[in-house]
Amino acid sequence: MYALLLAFRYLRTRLIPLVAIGAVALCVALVVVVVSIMSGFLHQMEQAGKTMIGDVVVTNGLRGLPDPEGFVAYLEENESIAAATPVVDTFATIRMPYDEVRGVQVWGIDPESFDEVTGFAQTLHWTPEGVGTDWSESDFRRDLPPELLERLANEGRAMARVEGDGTIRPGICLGLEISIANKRNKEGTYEPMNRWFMPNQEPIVLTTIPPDTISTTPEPVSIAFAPVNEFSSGLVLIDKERVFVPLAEARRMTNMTAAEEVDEEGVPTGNIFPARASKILVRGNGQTEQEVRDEVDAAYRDWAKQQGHPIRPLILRVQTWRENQASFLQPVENERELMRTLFSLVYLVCAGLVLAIFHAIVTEKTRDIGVLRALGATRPGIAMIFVQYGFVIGVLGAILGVLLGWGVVHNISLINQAIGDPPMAAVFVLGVVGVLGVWRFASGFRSGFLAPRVLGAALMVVGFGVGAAIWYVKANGLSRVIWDPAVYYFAEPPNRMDWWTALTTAIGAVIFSVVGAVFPAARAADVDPVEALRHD
Amino acid sequence: MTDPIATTVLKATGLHRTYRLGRVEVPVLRGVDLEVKEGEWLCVLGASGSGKSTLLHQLGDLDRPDRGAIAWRGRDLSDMRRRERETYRNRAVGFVFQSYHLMPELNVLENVMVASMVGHDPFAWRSMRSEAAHRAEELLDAFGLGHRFSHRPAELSGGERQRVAIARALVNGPDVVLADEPTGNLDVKTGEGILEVLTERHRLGLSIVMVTHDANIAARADRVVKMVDGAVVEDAQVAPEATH
Ligand SMILES: Nc1ncnc2c1ncn2[C@@H]1O[C@H](COP(=O)(O)OP(=O)(O)OP(=O)(O)O)[C@@H](O)[C@H]1O
Ligand SMILES: [Mg+2]
Repeated sequence: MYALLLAFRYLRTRLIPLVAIGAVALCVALVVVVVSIMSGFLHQMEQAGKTMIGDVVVTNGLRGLPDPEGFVAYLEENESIAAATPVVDTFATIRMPYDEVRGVQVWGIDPESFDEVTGFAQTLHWTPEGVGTDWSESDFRRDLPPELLERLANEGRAMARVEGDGTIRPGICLGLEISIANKRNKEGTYEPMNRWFMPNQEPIVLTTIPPDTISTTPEPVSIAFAPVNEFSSGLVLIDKERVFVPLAEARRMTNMTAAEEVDEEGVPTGNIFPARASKILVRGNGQTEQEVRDEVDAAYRDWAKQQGHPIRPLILRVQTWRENQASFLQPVENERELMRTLFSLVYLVCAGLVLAIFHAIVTEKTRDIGVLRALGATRPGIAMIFVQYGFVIGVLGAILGVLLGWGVVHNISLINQAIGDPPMAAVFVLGVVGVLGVWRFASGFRSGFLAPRVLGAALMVVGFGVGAAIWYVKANGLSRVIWDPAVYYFAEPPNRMDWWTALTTAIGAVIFSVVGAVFPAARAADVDPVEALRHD
Repeated sequence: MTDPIATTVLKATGLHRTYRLGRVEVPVLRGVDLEVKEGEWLCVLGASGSGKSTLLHQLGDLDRPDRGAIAWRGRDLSDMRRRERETYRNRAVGFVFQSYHLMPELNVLENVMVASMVGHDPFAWRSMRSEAAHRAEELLDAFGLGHRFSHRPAELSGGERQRVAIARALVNGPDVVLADEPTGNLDVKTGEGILEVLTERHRLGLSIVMVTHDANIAARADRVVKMVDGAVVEDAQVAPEATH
């Protein structure tokens, strides 16, 4: 009991232990903030990756899957499947209206079922949704007539445009980052240069060379699409590379249309090869990805057997979206784990701090230890004072650290803004600190003491120095936002707290604070009471 | 004042203690025999460096003799297990030091109560906390410190601090108080007050072993012994006049 009493009293009457708590708190906060932001980053990437892919992906090499519509229909009879959709993907060159040709990844989709699986319609950019709520003040969409947005939304969902002469032209939906005319501003919204507002442009031509196994000279295929809309998946990596076109056109570009078999003379044999798809995306009905995957896998095997389609086990792949995106998510995940491991070093910092501080305290408290021994305290009892003391410091530091980390993670946007562009109030506060320094310095000069003069000088340097620097930066327009949405994948820095990391880090900090306390505690226990009491 | 057939509380026989400083040996106790009877006030006189404090530390089990034995109510300390020795230090004897040795972070009441806390684990302590607090308050009241429970030692005078220290030594109801020059740091008048407090307790049956080199103080004791050449010499005839 006296151990805890003394631990708390030593805490209250001394400054160094408070420094120790502060240091432990800073260490914990550091880990929590860094890992939380990386986890948030990973989470955003996963979410973005998932938005465009559903739960499960079925692929079958370059050859693709036969009769995907048939399989989709078969799948949809299954209770545990919510929706499925065929996709044809390929690469093509695109001629942009500002006279540039570049390569893009083309996904041919059936807009309706694709939306059911991936929520594609939500990613369309030129829609009237979110007027006045999600849109920031400077959002370009505020300037567009609602009828236009309404029309573009419909065209985007249908992937087609009715031209002035009544003909229906297949539509193309481009990733928002494809057109160099779409400039992302500091709020993370897009501002097209007016002349190059994509949906107003002439039809856009995609050109590709379909893989062909029969003829020897492959013929390029070019198709003109109406630029019906643009999409933003939330992941710049996708928005920069991908365009969506109707499934039928993509099949033409890849030779995946239905075909009739011919014999050597070119006479039809009556054998029809069904149309194909590169992949089939599936969304489950709330089960885990793995359950959906196993379900789809079994279903495909049954269906293919039933239909007489051969299965090539090494090439057919049924994967969860996570498995499918592993090459893209894994590096970030590894990086996070690396961070977590590296930052485990802060535990050693905790232990070292507590060790050094407690060593000093034990030396200072030798006499009290002697008295306690004279009063009948056991060696373990004496040791417990310092072990519990370390525990208290660890716990307080950890709690404070988690709170601090939470505060930072929660307000990361504000902090990001404040660091990038410090408010004038900061300059004022720093000025006050500087004046305080002058006052301390002067009082030290009058009394002849050195400590107030040193403190005063430090305050002056920090207050006036940092204040002037900030003022200079602001006055010259040099401030810049650290997390610039114009540069990063995501418009907002992640602000999700990683509670699991917070918990493990807090526990680690407590354990290592106790570990740091153990050695000084043992030394205290071994204090010779006679020796301790001889020094008056 | 002491009944000659009273029981012996504390008995030291043939105590030897030698300190070694490198290769130099300093024999401090060289065969000390001492007996403390129930309710006796014993004064140990002796020159500085004669080994009085060393003897007191031995009696209080803060240090162990190289040779010889100490028995408490007939039981040899060296036969006791560690727990028993701790209980011995906690309950059987109470230490009073020349320079008080209060804990600066604790207030007056806590400084007294810490002695009972040390003797009980947290669970036992919970059930006896109020009783211990009551006893500590009673002692402090009796010593004229009833209104200063929450003061820190730094806020007390030397005499007041020593009275707190005596209350701490007494709070667990020991048989013997071992006092090492308890008035050594105090002026004569304040010292008188401290001795008064001890005399009061002595009348209630407390045994006291007090180290001093002031013959005037020794005069208050039932019996006076002298430390000479690392041994104790009975010197009951010592009168205050004789030493001047
Ligand atoms: N730990 C130690 N190491 C070496 N010598 C010691 C040690 N403790 C005590 N001594 C020596 O033992 C002798 C007796 O010391 P002690 O403190 O018992 O004397 P004392 O009679 O109490 O003196 P005083 O009246 O000054 O308090 C001294 O010479 C001292 O230097
Ligand atoms: Mg001494």
